[in-house]
Amino acid sequence: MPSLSIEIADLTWRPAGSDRLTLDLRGTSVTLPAGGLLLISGASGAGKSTLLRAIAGLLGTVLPGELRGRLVVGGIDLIVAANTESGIPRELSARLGYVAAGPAPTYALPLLLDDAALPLESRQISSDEMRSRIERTARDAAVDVALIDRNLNTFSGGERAAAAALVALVAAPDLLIADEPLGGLDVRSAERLATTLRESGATRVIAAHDLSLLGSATAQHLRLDGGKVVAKLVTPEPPSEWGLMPSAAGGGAPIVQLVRATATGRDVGPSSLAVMRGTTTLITGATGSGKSTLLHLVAGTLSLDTGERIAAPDLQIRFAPQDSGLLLGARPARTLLEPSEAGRAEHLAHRLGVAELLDASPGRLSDGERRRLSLVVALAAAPDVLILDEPGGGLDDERVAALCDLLSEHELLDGSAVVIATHDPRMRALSRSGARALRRIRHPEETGTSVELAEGGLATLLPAPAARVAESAERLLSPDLGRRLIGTANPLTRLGLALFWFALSIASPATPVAQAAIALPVLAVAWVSGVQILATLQLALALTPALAGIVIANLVGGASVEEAVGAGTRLLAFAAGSLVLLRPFEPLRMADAFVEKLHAPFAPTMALLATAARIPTLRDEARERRAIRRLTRRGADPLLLVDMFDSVLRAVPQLAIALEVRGVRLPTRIAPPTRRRPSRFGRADLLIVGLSVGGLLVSVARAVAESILTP
Amino acid sequence: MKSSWGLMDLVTVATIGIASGVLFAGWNLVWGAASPLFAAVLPLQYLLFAGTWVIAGPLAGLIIRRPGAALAGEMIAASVSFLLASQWSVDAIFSGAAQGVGAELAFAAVRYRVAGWRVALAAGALSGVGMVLHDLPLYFPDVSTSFAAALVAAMVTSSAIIGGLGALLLRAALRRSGALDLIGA
Repeated sequence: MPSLSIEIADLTWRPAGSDRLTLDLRGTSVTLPAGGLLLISGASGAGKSTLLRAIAGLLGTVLPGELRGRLVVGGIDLIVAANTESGIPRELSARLGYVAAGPAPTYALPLLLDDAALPLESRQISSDEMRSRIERTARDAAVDVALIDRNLNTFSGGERAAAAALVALVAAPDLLIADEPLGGLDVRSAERLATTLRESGATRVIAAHDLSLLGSATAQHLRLDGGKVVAKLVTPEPPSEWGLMPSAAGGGAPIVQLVRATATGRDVGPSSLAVMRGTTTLITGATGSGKSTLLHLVAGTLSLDTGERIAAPDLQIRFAPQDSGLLLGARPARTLLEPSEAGRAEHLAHRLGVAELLDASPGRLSDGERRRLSLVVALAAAPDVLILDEPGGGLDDERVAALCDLLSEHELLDGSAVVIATHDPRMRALSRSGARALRRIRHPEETGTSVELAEGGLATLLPAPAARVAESAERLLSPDLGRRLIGTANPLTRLGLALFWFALSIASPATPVAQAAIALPVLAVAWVSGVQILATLQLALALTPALAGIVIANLVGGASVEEAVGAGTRLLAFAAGSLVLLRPFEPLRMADAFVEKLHAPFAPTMALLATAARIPTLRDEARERRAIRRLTRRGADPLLLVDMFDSVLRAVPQLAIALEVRGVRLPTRIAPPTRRRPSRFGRADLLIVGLSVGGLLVSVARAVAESILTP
Repeated sequence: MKSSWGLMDLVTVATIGIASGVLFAGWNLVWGAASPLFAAVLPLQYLLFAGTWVIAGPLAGLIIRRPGAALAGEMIAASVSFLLASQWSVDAIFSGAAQGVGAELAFAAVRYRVAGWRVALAAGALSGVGMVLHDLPLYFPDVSTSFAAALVAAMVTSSAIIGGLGALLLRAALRRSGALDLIGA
């Protein structure tokens, strides 16, 4: 495999809007031969991610700022590119695989299969080959093959990390750059993925806090601190493993107890757990076993589907989620604190090394700094229940040790019940002698049994005969019947017809009869093309006041009754003709059709599609943020317009990078992308076009008849 | 500023468009619910409410100073509002196009170099002109001249103030929070 060599010397980076260098490698030079391995370690905020992004060609091109010094990757001068290109240079982009650090979503498209296909589509791999390549790579990346067809939003933190590695590896890159690729993985999955990374023939640059699994005799190693190199080594650090931990019994009565609880919308089996004052409960378990869901259930931030949550009244609960942004949001950490908590917060911040960051806007902080600030906010209240999800994530050994010291102290969290979910072997320091009582619970083995959740519909809620009626009604009204008979029409056909019916409605006189004659055939067309009629009727109902408004306004404006009602029915015909026809809205199929049939440029189409696909995630995140913030007294109101734009814009760089490293700018007019699902026209298209022509004829015939009959 | 559109710009326009579109869809329902109240004084409803529907164009143009940003932002927003919930159905896209072209003209007139309050105000007002050119013939073909004149004044004023100056204020708030530094705007 041809791979790339890397030369770095005197490299510096100053991000836009900042007056300090976040990477300062003046006086350091590194040369990595083709096929070599460069490991980068260091504290959180030390500049590891920045260095990786520089080598990937993202700095100055995608991310705004000033890159100086010398950086040549595979013969391409990236300093020059930073000043001239608005993306990774093509020659590099085509050969690059990049794993971004979690836990915030790092994917471009929500379905793993789509996301993993994107690098292959960009590189013109044939659609027949895609699935087998993705499945093959899944095994190397420790991804369960069953996950490929699932939505990444349902993945646990560890599953997401493995999926990110799968996507980076799937196009067999010559240069592989990975930022904390093992973060959140359980030991077995981490070993599997580490082996793949170690044995790869590509040139590799990997940043990690724990290098024990990744080291090899020939690896080079840079240790960073404060954006600077503090050590250049060639020997890997000694391995660390989970030691045997005492499973000390906790004292006191439980203050929160789960009894065979399951969460709405999460595919995790019923769990039982009790947490006690003065006791730390450490939850460990395999990647994807549902540790985070369990924590949400304890916190009460996810609603229960089945089972029971028993909690003492008026508990003060604090939750530091795996994604610290959910707690911190766009405001400085101090704004989340009660005035009475300030002194304690200062002390905690000092011990975790973030004393000067309490008033900093979280936007410019590193992941590790944000993590530590979110821990300060959670701990500051001395809550009854303290819940921490992977608190060591993104922190170096020293910080983890400091955190474990804090959490082991009797005085600091005297009456608190502490619940921690983690994979991190370094958290074993919690069990040192003299510390708080500690229980280690493996999930799901010791919390319950994993079962498949039953598929629920309207029918499951009703007695048997009524259920049969409901079932057939559901079947009749669902788009599945039309689909089974004739398939679904191509989005392009539906869009074309929507415009056609719109134009016809405009061209026809604004009388109730003429407009109704348009609306009716359209409804027939809509039904066979897969519209959910019930949902549409609901929508129509919601729009009724607007219709009334138009009619009344026209009357007030001097129009006659017939003219005013006509204007109202025209609106109805619009709705029938276009809104209805475009449901169900299938953005992916639409993008396929636009790219393939209309030769729409790939990068803008994918940017729009990927952004649109984030809408549900953003909504869920907003809900989760509200739930977590509600636990603290002062939460910023997420409904505010500025907060909404602020949070969506903050997600932009991550998504732009995800698209860039998947190579969506690679295809050209001459070499268009291949598509995983080719866009086709079929029987359904023929049928709805036929029905529409029929409708047009009826409309014309009616108009002709009217002109003959009226004198 | 580099000449070609990069993914950061594309995703930013898409994000502004989609977030505004969600806002528009909600606004459509607010408008609809308020309609019967204002039916006797429709120009007043336009004056108080209509400007919100043009905010995406000025906002996208102010944040991304590139040819096409304002038009794309407003059209994406209009399309999203149509797909989520709009009593104007596919016509929302044509409205968005007319309003977006208006905003785009304001930024083109200063060659995308300036983005202060004058440009913002002009972008909003021209979006309002787009709204007039699209809405008046289609929805109010038979109304009296004086009623039409009141509608025109309401549409342009509302668009300039809510759409134009509102976008300017929103950008200032986003600059303060640091969000704009992250995307290089």
